[in-house]
This record gives sequence, C-alpha cells and structure tokens, in this order.
Amino acid sequence: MIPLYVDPTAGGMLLQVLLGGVAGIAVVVRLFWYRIKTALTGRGRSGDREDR
Amino acid sequence: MTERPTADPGSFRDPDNRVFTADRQVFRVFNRRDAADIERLIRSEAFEDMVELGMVVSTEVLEPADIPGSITSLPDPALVVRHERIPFISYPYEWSFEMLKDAAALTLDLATRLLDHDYILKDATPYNVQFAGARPVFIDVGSFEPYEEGPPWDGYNQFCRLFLNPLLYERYVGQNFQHLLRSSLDGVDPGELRAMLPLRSKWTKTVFTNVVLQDSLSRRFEASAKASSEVSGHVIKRGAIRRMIRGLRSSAAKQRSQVRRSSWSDYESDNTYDQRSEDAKREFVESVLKRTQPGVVWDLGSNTGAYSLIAARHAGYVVAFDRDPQVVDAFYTRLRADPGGPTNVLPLVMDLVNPSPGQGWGHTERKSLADRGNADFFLALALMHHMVIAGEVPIDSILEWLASVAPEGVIEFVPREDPMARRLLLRRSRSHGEYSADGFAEALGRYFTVGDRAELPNGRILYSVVRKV
Repeated sequence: MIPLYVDPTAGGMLLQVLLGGVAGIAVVVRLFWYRIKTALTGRGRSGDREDR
Repeated sequence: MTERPTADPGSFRDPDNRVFTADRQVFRVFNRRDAADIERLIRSEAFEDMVELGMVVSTEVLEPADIPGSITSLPDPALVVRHERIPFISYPYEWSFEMLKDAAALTLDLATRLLDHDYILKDATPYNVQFAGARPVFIDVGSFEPYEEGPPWDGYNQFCRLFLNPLLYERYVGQNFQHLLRSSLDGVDPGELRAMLPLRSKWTKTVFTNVVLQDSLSRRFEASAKASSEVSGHVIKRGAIRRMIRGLRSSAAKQRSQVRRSSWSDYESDNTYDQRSEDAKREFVESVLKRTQPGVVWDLGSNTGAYSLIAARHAGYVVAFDRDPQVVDAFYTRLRADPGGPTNVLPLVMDLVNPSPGQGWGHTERKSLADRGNADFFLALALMHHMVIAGEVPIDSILEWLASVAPEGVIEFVPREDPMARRLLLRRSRSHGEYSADGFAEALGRYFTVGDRAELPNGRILYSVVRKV
C-alpha cells in the first residue's frame, strides 16, 4: 500500500525537534509513550491515524 | 524589440515568484505581499557581499521605468529583478560527485549567512544552484524569506534527499549517484537509502542521524496527526538550526567518492597517442578554433578536458560532456584547483547515446539536452568509433545529430585498424563493415562541407567541417 495522506518530511521535522535540546527529547519520548499507550488500550488509534 | 515573456517551465512550484525570459534576459517576478522583505534583502550590503563572493547570481531590482513592457503586463508584479544569465543550464544528475558537494556547501553557507541577517532558505535543492564555468552559484533568490524562530528548517529533508543521500550512496554503496537523481527529481528517500547502505556505515554519526534515525521517526510518525501538532507547538531555537546546518556542512564536505577508478581516468597517460600525433592533433584543433573564434563550444566526449582547455582560449564558453562521472570529476577538480585557470569551462556528465531527457511536469520542468539550445562549434574527437561500434548508432544518424548541434566543428575519424577501435570491435557480434575511412568520408559529405583535413602519423584523420544548409 502506498500511504497517500502522510507527511514525508515528518521524520526530518521530528529529528530536528529531537536534536534541538532537552525539551525536544521530551516531545519525542511523549510521542512514543502515546503510541505504546494507544497500542495497549486500543484507544486513540482512529484519531491518530485517520485517513490511512 | 520585445517579445512575449516566456515563463520558465521549471519555476512554477513557488506561487510567490516566477522566472521569465524575454529578449534573452532573465527576470524574476515577485507577486506576493512580502515582496518588500525580499527587496530589502536584495538592496542590503549583506546581499551585495553574497553576489561579490560569487555565491548568489548577480541580481538587480528594476525601477518601474526599466521594466520591459512585456513583463509589466503580467498580473500583479510587485517586484521585478533582472538576473545575470547563466550560459548553460545544467542539472544535478549531470554533475560529478565534487560538483554536488560544492553545490551542497554553497547552499548551506548561504543558509548560515542568511540566518545571520534574519533570513532563511525556505528550501534546499540543488536545482537552485547552477554552474557558471566550474563555479557553483545560487540562482533562486525567491527561496529567501524572513526568518522567524520556532519551526524546524523546511529545507532539511530536501537537503538530505537531494544532496546528502546521493553523496552517501556513492561513498558507501560505491556506485555513481547520477542515475538516482535522474530517475527521481525528489531525490533519494532516507528509507530507500537505508535499505541499500552496508551495516558498517550505519554506525557513523552522519548516517545514523540523517538516514537511520530520520527514517525510523518518519516510519512511525509520518501519518500521525499528534506528531504534527507536537512539532508545530514546539520552538526550535535559532542556535539549534545553525548547529544542524553546520553539522550537515561538515558531513557533506567529508564524503569521498568510493567508485572504482574507471579505465578512462588513466586515458590521457595510457592512450595510444604517440607524441607526434598528439602534437599534430592539438595544432590542428587549435588552428581551427583560432580562426573561428566561436561563441559556445560543445566538447563531445571531452575525456580529461585537454581539448576543452584549448577551446577555452578561443571561445566564449565551453561545455565539456563526458559519460564517465569519474573523468568529469577529475576535470572539474582540476579546474577548481587552478585559481588562474579558465572560468569559461563547464564539465558535465552526459551519455551522448542516451542524453538527458525532458522530465517533470509536462516533460518540460527539466529540459532535455536538445531543448537547451545549441552550440556554435563542436569538437567530436575520438567520439565516432565509440558511438558507432559500442553505441551501435549508424554513422549517418551521428552526423545528422552533429549538424544539429552546431554549424561547424572538428571531427576525428579513428580507423578500424587503430588499437583503440580494435579493442572496441573485439567480441562484438556485428562486424561494422560499413565503418571505414572511405565510407565515413562519403557519409560526411552528405551533411558537411570539409574544410581542412589532416591525417595524423597514427592513422587517425581530422576534419574541420561546416554543415550544409
């Protein structure tokens, strides 16, 4: 499947956030935690991955 | 005389400004509300410095009275600037490794300078760079915009795809990058490159950060609305952007091509030319060029560039085409290393049997070689036997094409008994019986009038020719 509604620059943007300092690391950690949480509870998925 | 301005088909993506050519001049028309910001920058000392240093193409703001009528008729031209014309437009898939590196360094140096003056590059693509001779120059003044602290740098992902990743590919995969950029105008996706890179490269800081980490984050969050909102809510300090650009600058600068040396790299020292023949050939070529004083010369199959350098002394501008990226790289490096050397020679990678096609939207965004104008003079030295024997192109087709390239030129015929031609004929299924000195001379007469003719001591024949109209 070719994902149509994705942002190919998302990785680059997040990488810059990550390299930007402690606050940026916290953002990425939070995003990963959010993913783990939604994977475990099954909630939030439709909101996060709309349109795929 | 005024003609209707022609919109450059490669400049439509940016809605804020477009490039037009009229009366053989290049204009950039800004129609956006913040044209004032661009005008302030162009009129600043900082910009003047960038032009003076050769980083940015010479640009002047036109007063309303100086704007050609054909341009003022465009809808809402808020600001019109005129650019110095680049003699020959080339694309990154026609550059050698060191050329792409120099274009990368220029782009990042410019980004840093702009940040010092509260501006930023809104993109980072090699298509914004052209070569004037062997010197890279930034042409897209429309990419400059006022900097506001907060968002990540928009140019980062593009820089990786179009500059850094092709360089890393050539360094770690050991293959030439040109075919990747020719087939994908968006460059090489980090995920795509990651799959090709050897494991050992992935532990280097450059690859780990810009390829592995970027790709991992991309895979996980490219479709995540939450990630987008987190990014847009986050402030990245100017210092962090500056640091990242500095990191990219040094990452690009330290890459070295790891493509195996080609057999052509040694050609000049290894070919079958005896000194007497070589001297005679040089003398012949130089005397024709001296007499003709052409504007633009295309050296077709330029090899190490020896004859391009001769042409440069008598011509306005020389474009040196060779199909071997390593050979082009060596010639480019030699030109760059010589500060007193010619500034009017542009070496390019081009397989003349399969030249660059028209590409992108409408086949016109990136022009084919044929659509980029012609020359006033061509050099086709030790080229025919490659095109006929290895390329399997009929002699007549080659001559017809040469006649379309320029009205005059010099052609070298390499007889089939020549050791280099024999090497090509070896193991060919076709005998190429039609490839003979007599057959060639006869075909030549169908397309050209022969001026001077010289048979070299090694049996090769040089013709100076003028095309029949």
